[in-house]
Amino acid sequence: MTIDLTRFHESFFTESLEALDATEAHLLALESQGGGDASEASERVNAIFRAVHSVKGAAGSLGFLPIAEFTHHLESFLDHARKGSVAVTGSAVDALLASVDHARSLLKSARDGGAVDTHRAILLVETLRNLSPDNAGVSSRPSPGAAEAAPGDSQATYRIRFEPSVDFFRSGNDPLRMFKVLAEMGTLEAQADVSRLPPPEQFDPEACYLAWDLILTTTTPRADIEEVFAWAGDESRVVIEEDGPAEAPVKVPEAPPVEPPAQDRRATDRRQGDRRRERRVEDDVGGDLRTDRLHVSRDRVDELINLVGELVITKTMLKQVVSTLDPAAVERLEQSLANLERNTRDIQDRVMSIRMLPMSHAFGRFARLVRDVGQRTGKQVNITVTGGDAELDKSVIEKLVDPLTHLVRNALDHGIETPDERRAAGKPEMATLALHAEHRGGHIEIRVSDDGRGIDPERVQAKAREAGLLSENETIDVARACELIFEPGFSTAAEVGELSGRGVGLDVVRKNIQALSGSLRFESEPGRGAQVVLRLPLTLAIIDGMLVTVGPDAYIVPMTSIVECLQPDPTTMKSIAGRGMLVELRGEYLPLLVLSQLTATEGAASFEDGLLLVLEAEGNKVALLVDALVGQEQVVIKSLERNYRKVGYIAGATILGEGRVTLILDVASLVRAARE
Amino acid sequence: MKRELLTFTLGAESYGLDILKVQEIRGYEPPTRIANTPDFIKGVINLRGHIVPIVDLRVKLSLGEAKFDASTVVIILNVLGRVVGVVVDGVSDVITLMEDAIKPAPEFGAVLDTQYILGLATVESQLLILIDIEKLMGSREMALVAEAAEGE
Repeated sequence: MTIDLTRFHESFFTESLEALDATEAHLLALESQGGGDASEASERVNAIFRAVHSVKGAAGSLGFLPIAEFTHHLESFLDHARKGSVAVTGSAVDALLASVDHARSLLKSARDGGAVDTHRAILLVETLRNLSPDNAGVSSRPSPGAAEAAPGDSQATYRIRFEPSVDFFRSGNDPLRMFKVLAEMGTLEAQADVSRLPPPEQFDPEACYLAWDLILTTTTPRADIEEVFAWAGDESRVVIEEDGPAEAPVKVPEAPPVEPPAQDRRATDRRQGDRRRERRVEDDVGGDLRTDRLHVSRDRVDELINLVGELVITKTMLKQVVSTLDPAAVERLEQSLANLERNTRDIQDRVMSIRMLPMSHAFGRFARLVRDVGQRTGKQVNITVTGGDAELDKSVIEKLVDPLTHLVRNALDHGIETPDERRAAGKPEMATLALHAEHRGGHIEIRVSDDGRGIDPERVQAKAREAGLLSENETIDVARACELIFEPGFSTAAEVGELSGRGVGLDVVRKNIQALSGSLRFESEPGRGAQVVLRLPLTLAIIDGMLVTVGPDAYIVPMTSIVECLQPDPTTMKSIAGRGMLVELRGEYLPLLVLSQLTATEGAASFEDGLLLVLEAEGNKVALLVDALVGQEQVVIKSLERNYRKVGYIAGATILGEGRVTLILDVASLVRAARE
Repeated sequence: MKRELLTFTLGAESYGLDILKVQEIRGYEPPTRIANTPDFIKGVINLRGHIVPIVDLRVKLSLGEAKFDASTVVIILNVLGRVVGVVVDGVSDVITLMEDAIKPAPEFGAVLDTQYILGLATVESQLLILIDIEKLMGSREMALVAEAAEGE
């Protein structure tokens, strides 16, 4: 029987990286609180210990020995910290944070391959050992995930390998009866090993070819368990291995366990794999070693979301049918329908929420970044995070991390001054970097603000001239400066530092945000600070759209790209030979696109009877003539390319309430077409 | 070797295609038109949450007058990992043919290029044209797949 252990790897990596993130957060909290509440500090140290302990155990049982070994050293040190014999402050926090980083890189190299700096591990272990109160007391022998005795009569898990002799049945033994006795002691899991079965022609019906792997969780002393196997006979092989107690409050070294023979390795691993799952169930009851999170593949969730979308559509169709019937006869039907509607909406909300993660997921990492940059540059920065509970689609959060990192680095590098400069400017030496998130309608607003030097229009002006973005005699104000820094090729970093100014500028940030159908605004008060405001849809799967009509057809225009909507005035329309038409809007000339021409629709309204939508994408504006606006709709984006192909001017399709497909306009391609 | 075929009519001719490629058969409902596509692409429909293109083979093959009446149906095909709907004048039957009943198609003036014809068979004294539907749908001229359409 071959067991594929790799199926546990994915969840191991995810859980371990989560545990390290939690460890890092606890360490940073410990450091910033200093000598704060003692009981809270000790709870944090305990939480760190448990997190590292579970990474070590899982790494050991899955055979990631470098990780198990390194975390073992980490754990030994934390054990001292837990007992109060070493304080987790200053250099200890530095060493532990560096160790967390190293553990991360070990995990990443185990997952993605790649080399790891072993020298660094040795240095870190050395540092930790020197920090320990009793150098000699620290064992360098790793004991990955095993060899822990149960104190007192608490519950323990035994892994038992039972290989009865071939004559087992002939001597009147019954394994089932033995297992029943074991099962009465606690919870028993049995797995038969059929690898000894001979080919059918050699099969002796009276012989025993089976072996078993048993996992017993019980409070019964070990001697009683051995007693059960006492009658199995000398020819049978029994290996009883004791696992750590389900909860391991105290770690007591113990003699190495009986090593199972090499050919049993797979079976042992399998049992350990099972044990991992078993522990997970136990933790749901009371322990806090593991999170109560489920790791579900995104495809499954997407499929679920798809189906729920269908349910909503079916419900709407049903409702429309009912509305055409005689109301007196269908009163009860309507009642049920109201229930269905409520339930459907609830299900939809819940299903959509599966994909949602709190913003703290993205914000969390910046505390570390701010600390490290502060240490390196000598800047004193206090980071405040508000609205970390605001939830956002996982895929949006993932794509947001890079732009946010860029903005935070930018603020640290360019915005915030050194303590000396701040003192000279009459500001407190400790600068503040604030991250804030909040929901606004179907959007989330994220603000990255600092109280640094803000934008310097003159410096921006000089840079912009250098980069050829401004002509020699053009002067700019603060607002224009705030726009200019997002132009491609613009970077005010005096020298290309490690922190920012690596050639990729804020224009990349803006592009990334726009790719998420979001928008970005930069505000600054010179000398007082700066603020970047990001506005993003809560999910990529759903957008706010405006339903517009042209002739008999309807289209969705994404709300994020609509600047304004106005009645066309024929006197503002200018036709330029060979260059199409322009519309004048408050002194600005916008290219005019006529939707009915683009889509070859007949029966569309004339220019005077239509409506103009001013659309913006990639920094450029166009005016789009449509017949009428129907209303705002939240629509689920569906791919047209899944079964067909990309079509000009169309970003995708959606299904409206009545079940009909409606196409979503691709504003970016419209804008591009208008400029060609 | 037996072959199970779904037979359908296009204008006056009878065609057959491999039943394993057929996902389902639906009545015709007007799809959502897509501008800037060939006229044999009628548009897209909502098939339980998936956006599925609808091809009118009668327009593509210039057969009959492409009228829509009660017997007009859409055969939903599962080809090339995609779901595609094909409008035909009517579905006739599901038949089983022995392999040796299928004769190779001669070069003849059929509306359908012989490279998309698997063979001919006579069923109840009527000529049945077996279409290689996967090849036809994946062909460059159908432009159903982006790669095939890039030459435009």
